[in-house]
Order: sequence, then structure tokens, then C-alpha cells
Amino acid sequence: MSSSKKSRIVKFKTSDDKTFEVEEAVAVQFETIKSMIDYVCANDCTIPLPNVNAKTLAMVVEWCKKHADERDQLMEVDVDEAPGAVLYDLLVAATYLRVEDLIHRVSQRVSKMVIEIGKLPEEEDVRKTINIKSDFPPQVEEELRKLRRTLGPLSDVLVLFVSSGLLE
Amino acid sequence: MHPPPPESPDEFHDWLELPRDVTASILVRLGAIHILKSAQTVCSSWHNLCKEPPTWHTIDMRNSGWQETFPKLQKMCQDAVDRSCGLLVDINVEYFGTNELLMHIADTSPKLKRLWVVHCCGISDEGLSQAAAKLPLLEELSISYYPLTKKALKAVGRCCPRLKSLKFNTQTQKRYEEYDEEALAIVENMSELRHLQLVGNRLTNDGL
Repeated sequence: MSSSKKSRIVKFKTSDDKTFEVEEAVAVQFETIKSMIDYVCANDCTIPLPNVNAKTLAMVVEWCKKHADERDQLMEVDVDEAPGAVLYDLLVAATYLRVEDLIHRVSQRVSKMVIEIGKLPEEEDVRKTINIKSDFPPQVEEELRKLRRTLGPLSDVLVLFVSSGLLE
Repeated sequence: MHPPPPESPDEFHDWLELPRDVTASILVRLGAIHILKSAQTVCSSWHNLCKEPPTWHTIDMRNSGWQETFPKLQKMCQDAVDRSCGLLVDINVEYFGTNELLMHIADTSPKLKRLWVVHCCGISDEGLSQAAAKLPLLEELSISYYPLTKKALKAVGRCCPRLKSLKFNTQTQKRYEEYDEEALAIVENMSELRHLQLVGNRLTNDGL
């Protein structure tokens, strides 16, 4: 290969229109980008990231910069204190760029947040905690609320709910 | 820890955009009880994933189970096993397990490789022996706080030729005499065993 030993820079343009310069050593950890680095650097291209904003890309880059062994400790605080919306953005970015370790780390954190609600949460608690929006039709939501009210949180609401045929 | 900033409703994300395997990796980590009680009605993508058999490869009934009565946990466990459509590989049953439930697992899960049974007074020697007969692929068995005898160990050894790991904890048994027959039953019937843990066993030096 004719590429120089000097670390190259890969340029990205984020969804909020910011240009980001990322060292090659980090960019190779993005599986999606890895194979195009030679071409991109040789032609001075900028890779567009239509669904990753600058703030999220900065977190992903920071994650990738840490040595694999230290990663968990160093990123623990950032990931653990991030609210659901940030975790969602991180998941989208990590999935798009294919950074497997980060996908695992964040999904682990998301499920931990649900478990840490403490009691057995209802769907509304889960949605609030990790910032998920329900896309069920209003009549399904209404029926679900009614069942939760009449049968209480510890009853077999969901078995009934599902067997009621409202949801396929 | 900083409280998360208040979010306006339009900041909610559509988790449908995430690939299925990413969502699945979140769900699997929640454990069976959380999936059945809340996760499956969070949104349609979660709901659909919760119906797919691969989500139920592993059934972990541990989280928050103490809030439910045994019959409900048994029903939930049975529901989870049914959803796996025979793909179940790994299951963990604590306290609420019965012979009937174990038989249901064995009848419907020919691919089961790992079975953890902890504190299940409702499972007898016969129950475990009969279930073992239907679990030829079982590789790992962990039985804790349960008075299993050499009879069941022999049956497991005979029926599960691939058994590589056995953890057998009989700590709560009030039995003080020396007793080697359980260990002998293991040695004589489990030739593929690579890992063995005996806790509270009255094995003697001679037996060893």
C-alpha cells in the first residue's frame, strides 16, 4: 500500500451540518466506514452521517479512543448518567457505524434502567424512563389503561390484554 | 448523579428505527418477567419482538419474581416456554418450579442445553428423572437447595449423555452421616462430565 505511516484523518459531516475530523485509528473501528477509508482519504471526501448529530458522534469517538481494556471504566460515568434520549442517539449512531462493543454497552445500560425502576414497571414507566414513544392505536392504549386500573399492577394484565385480540 | 433534563413530548424517539437485533439485545437482558409484565406493551416493535421465538432462547425468571405468587410465576414461565416454540436453550427456574412445569419444559424444549433449578421444593426425584428422559441435549445442570437423591442423578446421567457440567448444592439437607453413593452415581453415569461442583455433600475420603 502506498499510504503513508502518518495517521490520516477521515472527515464526517453530521446531521446538524458540522464537519468532524476523526483520526484513522478511531475511524477503522467503525465497521461501516473501515473499507472505504483509503478511497475517502485519497479523494479528500467527507462522509455524510445523516442520522448522527455532532454531540453523539463526539461521544462515539471518545468511546473508540479509549483502549478496549479501559473502556468500561472510562465510559461508565458517561453512559450511566445519560438519559434515555442520549442512549437512543448513541444506539442509532453505534448501529449505523457498526461499533459492536458500544451497541452492547448501551443496550446493557438501557435494560438496566428498566430493571432499576424498582417495582415491576408498567409500560408507561418504561416509556418515560428510556424515552420510548408508544405507537399503539389510541383504542389499544385506552384498553390497556382500563385493564391496568381494574386488575391492578400485579395481575395478569398482559395475558388478558393480548388474548383480548386488540393486539395482533 | 444528575437528574435527566425534562423532556418535551416531541423529544421522544421512535424506537422502531433501531434494527431488530439491537432491540432484541435490550429485551433479552430484561429477563422473562419484565418482558411479560411490561416490555411487550411498550410499543409495537417491542411487542412484535416479544412474540418471536428467538427472543425466548434464554428464559431468565429471576428479576423481581418475588412480587408475584407462585401460580402466576408458573403461568408466566409456561407462557415464556410456549413462546420459544421449541427453541429454548437455557432456562433458570427459582422457587416456584414444580414437576408439572418441569415436564412442560421438557416436553416442549428438545434443544434445552442448560437448566438451573434453585430452591424448588415442588420438584421431586421422579419429576427430574422423567424430565431428563426428554432432554438428550442437556449439557449443564445446576440444582441447589434441593434434596435430590442418587436415583435422579443416575437417571440424568443415563438420559443426558452430553452433560458436561453438574452443580449440586444440598446445603440445607439435615443429613450428617457420611455418604458416598451420590458421588458414585455421578462417576458411574456421567462420563462426559468436565465440571462438577458438590456443596454440602457428605462425601468421605474413601468415596473420593
